[in-house]
Amino acid sequence: MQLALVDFWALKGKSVLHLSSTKGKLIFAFASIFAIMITHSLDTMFYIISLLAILALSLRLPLSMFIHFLIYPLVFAGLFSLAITGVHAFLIVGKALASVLVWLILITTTPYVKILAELSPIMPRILLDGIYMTYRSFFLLIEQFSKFFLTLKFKGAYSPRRLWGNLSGISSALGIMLIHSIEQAERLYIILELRGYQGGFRLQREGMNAWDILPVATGLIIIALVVV
Amino acid sequence: MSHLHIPDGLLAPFWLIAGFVISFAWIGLALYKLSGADMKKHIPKLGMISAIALVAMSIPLGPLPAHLNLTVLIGILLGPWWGILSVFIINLLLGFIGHGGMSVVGLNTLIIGSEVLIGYLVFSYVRDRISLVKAVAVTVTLTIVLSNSLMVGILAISHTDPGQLVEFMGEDTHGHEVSEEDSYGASEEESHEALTGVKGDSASITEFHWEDFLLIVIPVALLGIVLEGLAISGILKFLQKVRPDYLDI
Repeated sequence: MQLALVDFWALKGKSVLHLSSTKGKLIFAFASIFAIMITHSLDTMFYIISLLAILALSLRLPLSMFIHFLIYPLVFAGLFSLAITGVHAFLIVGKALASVLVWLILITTTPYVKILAELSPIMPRILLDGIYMTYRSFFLLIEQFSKFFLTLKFKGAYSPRRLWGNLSGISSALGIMLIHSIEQAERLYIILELRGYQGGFRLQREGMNAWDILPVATGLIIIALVVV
Repeated sequence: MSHLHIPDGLLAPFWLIAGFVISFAWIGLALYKLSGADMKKHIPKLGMISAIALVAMSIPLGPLPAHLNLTVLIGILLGPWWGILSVFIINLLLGFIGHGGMSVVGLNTLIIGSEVLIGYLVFSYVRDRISLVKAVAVTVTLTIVLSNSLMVGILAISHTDPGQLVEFMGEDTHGHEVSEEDSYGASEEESHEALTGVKGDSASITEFHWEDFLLIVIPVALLGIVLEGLAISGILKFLQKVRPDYLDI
C-alpha cells in the first residue's frame, strides 16, 4: 500500500531532486550502487550511508514511508549476516541499507513512467508495455484490495498475530481479486482493440537540466569515497 | 520464498553478470516464442497477474516477515513464456523498493522463473490424475524444494563468503591495499590480521557458517511450502468453482 504513497510523493514532492531530470537521478543511482557494490570498507560504507541519509532527509518526505521500505531488506540482511561472524556482518547490513536508500531516493522523486521512458531505448517493447501495465494494474488492485482488507479486519478475519487465520482470509480476497482482475484485463483488451493498440505505449523522455548538478555530484562523491 | 533477498555487493560480479546473461537469454527465447501473440489480449493479463503477485508480496502474513509469492499460480495462469516475462517485471519492480538488490534481478529471475516453469510443467501433468488440492500440494512442494536448492546452489558456487570477497579484492575492511609482504612469513593469525585488519584467528573472524545458513533456509522453505500450498489451493478451488475456464492449460 505504501507504493501508492511513493507514487504520490514522486509526483507531488517539492525538493531539488524532484526538479532534477530522470537522467541525472539515474546517473546518481547507478554510480552509487556501483560504489556500494565494490566497497569492502566499513568506514566508507558509514560515510556513504550518512550522505544518502542527508539526501533522503532533504526530500522532506514522511519518515514512516522510508522506515517501512527499510524493514524488509534489513531483516533479511540481518538473517543472512547471522551466518557470518565478524565485521563483515555489519558490512552486509550496511550495503543493504545503502542500496535501499539509493532506490528509495530515486523512486520517491521520479514517477515510474519517467523511469520507464528512460529505459525505453534498451528494453524490448513487450517488456516495457508489461511493466507499464503491471504498474497501472497494481494501483487499481491495491485500491480494491484495501477495501477487501478493511472488510476482513471488520469481520475479524485478519489480525497481526494470527498467521493461519490471515492466510485463509487473504487467499479468499486474492481469489476474488484474481477474477475481477482477469475480467478487467478482458475489458482492457476491448478498449485497446478500439484504440488501435498494436504494441508499444509511447513514453516521452526528458533532457537534463541545471538541477541535475545535485544528484550527479552526489553520485560522483560516493564513487570518489570508494575509489580514493 | 526462494527469492534472493541479498543486497547489492554481496555476490561477485561474475555471478551477477552470468545471472543477467542467462535470464536475458531465457527472456529472449520467450520473446521469440511470443512473437506472433496478440499483444492486446495478453499484455493486460500479464500486467494484472504480475500486479496480483506484487500485491501478494506486499502483504505481511502476520508476525513473521514472510509473504506469498504466487509464482506457481503465475505459471498455471500465464504459462511458461509469459510467466518468465512476468517474473522479470516483478523482480525489477521489487528491486526498486529494495526487496532484493537490483544487481541480483538476473539471478532472481532465474530462480523464480524456475518456480514458474516447474510449477507449470508439474501442475499440467498431475492436475488430471489427482484431486486439485493434492495437485497443488505436489506442485508447490516440488517447485519450492527445487527452486530453494537452486538458490542455495547459486550461493554455494558463487562463494558467498565475504572473507573470500575481501581477499579477492586484496583489501582489508578499512580499505587498505594488502601486499604479500604483509602476510609473508607471518603466523596464520597475523596473516589474517594483515588481510582483514582485525585481530584474532581466521575461523572466528571471516567465516560463513553454511550450517547456520541452512538452519535458517530449511525451516523458511518448509514454511513457504505450507503457506504457498494452502494459499494457492484456496485460490484455485475458488477459481474452479467460479471460473473453471481460467484453469485451462
